[in-house]
Amino acid sequence: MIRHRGLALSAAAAFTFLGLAALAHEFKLDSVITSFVKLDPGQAHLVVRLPLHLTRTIKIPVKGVWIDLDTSGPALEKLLAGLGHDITLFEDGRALSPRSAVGRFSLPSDRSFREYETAVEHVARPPEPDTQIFIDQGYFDAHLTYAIRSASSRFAIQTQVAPELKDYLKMTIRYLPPGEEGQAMMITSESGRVSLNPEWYRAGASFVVLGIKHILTGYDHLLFLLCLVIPFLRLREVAAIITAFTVAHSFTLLGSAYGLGPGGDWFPPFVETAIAASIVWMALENIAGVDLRRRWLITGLFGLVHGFGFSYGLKENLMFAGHHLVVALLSFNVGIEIGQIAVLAVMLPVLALLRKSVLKGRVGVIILSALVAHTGWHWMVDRAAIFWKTPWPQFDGRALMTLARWVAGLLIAFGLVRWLGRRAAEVLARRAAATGRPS
Amino acid sequence: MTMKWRFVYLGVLAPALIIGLGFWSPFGQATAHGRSRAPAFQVDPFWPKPLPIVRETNPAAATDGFRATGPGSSKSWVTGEVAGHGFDANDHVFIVTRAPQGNLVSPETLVATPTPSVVEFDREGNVVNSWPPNLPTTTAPWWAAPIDPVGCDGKACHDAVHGVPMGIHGLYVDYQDNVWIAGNGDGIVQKYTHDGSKLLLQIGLRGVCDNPPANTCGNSGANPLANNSQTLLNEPPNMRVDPLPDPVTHQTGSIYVPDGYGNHRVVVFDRNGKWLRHWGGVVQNSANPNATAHDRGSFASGDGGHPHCMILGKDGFLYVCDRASDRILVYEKNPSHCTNAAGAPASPSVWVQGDTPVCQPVRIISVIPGTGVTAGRADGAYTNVLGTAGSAWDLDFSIDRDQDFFFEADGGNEIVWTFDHKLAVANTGTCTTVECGHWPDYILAGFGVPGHAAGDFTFLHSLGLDSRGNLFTGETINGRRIQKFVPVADLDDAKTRNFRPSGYPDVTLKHYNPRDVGGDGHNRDDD
Repeated sequence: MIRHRGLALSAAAAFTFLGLAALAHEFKLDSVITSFVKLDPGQAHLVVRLPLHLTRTIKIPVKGVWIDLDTSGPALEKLLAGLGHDITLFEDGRALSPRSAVGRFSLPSDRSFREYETAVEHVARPPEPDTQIFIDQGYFDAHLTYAIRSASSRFAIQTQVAPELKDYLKMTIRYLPPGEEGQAMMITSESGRVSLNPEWYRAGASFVVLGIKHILTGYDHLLFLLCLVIPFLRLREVAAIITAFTVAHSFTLLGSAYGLGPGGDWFPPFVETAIAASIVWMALENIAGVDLRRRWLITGLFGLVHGFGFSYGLKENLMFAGHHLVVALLSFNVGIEIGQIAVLAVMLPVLALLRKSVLKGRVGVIILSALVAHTGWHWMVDRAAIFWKTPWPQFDGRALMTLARWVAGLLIAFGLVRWLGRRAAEVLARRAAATGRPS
Repeated sequence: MTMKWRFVYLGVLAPALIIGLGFWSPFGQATAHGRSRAPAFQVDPFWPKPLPIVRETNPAAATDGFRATGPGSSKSWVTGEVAGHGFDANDHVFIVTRAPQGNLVSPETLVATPTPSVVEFDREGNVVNSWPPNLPTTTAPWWAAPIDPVGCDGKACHDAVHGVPMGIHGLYVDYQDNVWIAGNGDGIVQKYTHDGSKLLLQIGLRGVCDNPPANTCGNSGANPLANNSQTLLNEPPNMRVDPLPDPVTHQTGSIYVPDGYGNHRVVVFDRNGKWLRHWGGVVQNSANPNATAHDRGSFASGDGGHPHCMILGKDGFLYVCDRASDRILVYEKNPSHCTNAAGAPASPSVWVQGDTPVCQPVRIISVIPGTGVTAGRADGAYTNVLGTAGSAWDLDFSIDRDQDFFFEADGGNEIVWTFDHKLAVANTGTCTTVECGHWPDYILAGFGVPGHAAGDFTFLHSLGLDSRGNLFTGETINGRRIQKFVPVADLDDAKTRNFRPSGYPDVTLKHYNPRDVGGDGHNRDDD
């Protein structure tokens, strides 16, 4: 174990200290750096566990095949310096430098890093005298402290350990602010600087961007939108349909984010299959020429399924929302709507041009819809094959209860919307009667 | 909304609210049934992922003129008998398989290729490493027992270090993530680095066993000179390494070897392979050499590993499988009550071999008899001879802090049994015949039947749990696979059927189907 006060780092170092040496050794893809960031008044603590195979750029003394713990002091110093350089804590945008650090080597069987307190206690304790740690098998554990202005500042973290492993090397962080519930997140060297406790507007902004990116890269959702609007030429005609889609997918997106959706491995493949099936359905409706005045209703139903699909992209990023879960949810939804509007703003004029020039009239609708149906069909068949192989859920009391809650929720929402719509229509009719104008 | 649709709306909403808010459930009655404390396991039929397809590199590999089986052809890996498995700190699963040691059967010998002896899977079941590489030969089968490339630090290590043990049998990953292998066709236990690139330690000599004077490997039986070597073993099946300080030397890393198929003892070495102590020996019933006398502190003389397995409990005790005697012996790490040949024999009808100390276990846990026949009872009932293959083949504990359960691979009946740990060790009686134990109170449930479908067993041989509580089993003769079972919930009694151990028609145990812990379409009965 080594203690170090006032780490001196190489100024303007442009390379990372820790990582894989350019040797013929194999490396492990599924590596995880485990860490805690705890804030106390006046100082921040970073406690890190690094798998030893990531430290090959630093020469560690060995005795036979075991780490020579007695002479490993200088190597520990270099490792601590490297860690302080490759993992950076920021306070209000300013990079912090560690003011003290302690480190040690640990056996692979050690489980101290399950909790912060046991991790700190473990790092503070030197290895037992007869501990044998095989080089490459085990961990380098460290505890770094940083002087901070205030525990209420905005903190961020960035890792550059072994960037050549990209997102194969993950770093788990448990952020422990004072007097608050901690949060867990996972980042990689490709995540860049990640905020540990963002302000609500920053969290909101980042989730708006995430929502926009999600819809713009969600080709199945975009194809569904295309299918919806193929028969129409003006934005006014599709407003009700798009609104129904938006309301419905918002409902299930928010519900799923709060864990109200069905659980089990079967559900994601079911959702994917249902999304593809919705594309096929809509395309066939266009070809068959159904009454489009009720399209808003079927779109609403399919929107529920698409909402679950959106939620998977949201859930994996919710760990970056800090305490602003609701803001993140709503912002993500706003981002999806902005993306949707942007896509429609391009899609509708292009469609109108095509429908007026090359693909005129009913034939144009059929041709476009057939092309979409073809793609949707292949997606549906491929996804259904995966869904079919997934173990189906046990339909027990709990599953029935979840289903019943969703049915009740939807019926209540439907009833509410319908009642509000009627009241609004009555109010408009009375006003029209009062002014003598048609309602 | 018309009246009709209003009725439909309310007719659906009302029951949805009643069920959704938990006021009533059509499944309520089923859930009111009892639930056993035993954890239930569901087989994961998709683990591991399909094995790699590799190119044939043996220049002498033959082609039959019709199929491409010669050099450069694509061949699938196949496992041989999966004789043991273990887990590292990241819950990677290591298996030892006898594929390169001649298990493959035609046409596998032409169209497939054996996996290396040791294969490492990640948690998802992908192969991430395997070693050592099989050595091609010029005659079929186109591989040979693998050659170990290095000795200990490049030097000879306890002499002859070529290859993993013959009859490769057990595997264990220790607290330093080193990989240990034993072989019941050999006299060695080996320790490798985690990636298998370096042999760190070998105990014993390859092909030389503790069976004086010829030191051939095999059941030492009544040889009074056996079970005493401080450097040789005799077909050891397994090993364990203690991360805690040894009770005698106070050093960590003591190596415990159930020595095993050829011998009849437990041996303890220090971390460098230096002998520390041993105990055991065989006790024979002079009236019936094939039946065990079940004397406290000895191992059966019959076939099948005596002892066959050993695990270290958090309670500080060793749990040793006396396989052919259908029992588990619980020992202190340094047993305190031992006798040797100079002391009084255990009873007039038995004798103790040689100088091997016979030590008293602190508990004897009887298990279900194996192989369909039972020992004779003192009252004359069930006077069949005990099945020689036994049933206590492997053990492991549950992952909770108190190790409330342990699991037994019953190779004689092809069942994994769940034991209540506290109840099992509660019996302090001195009666040592199988019917005197307080079982089946402590045997909570079991799963598995003979067969080849997912969740069935063919020569169930080894068992182990990773740190997440997933249970893995290895099968040897004709089974040749590893299976994964995922803990799903406490066992619902309604999902179990009755199992009657052979020879005990008045005893029923709970047995369930790991393919469907939520429902069992079968209602078979053993009788």
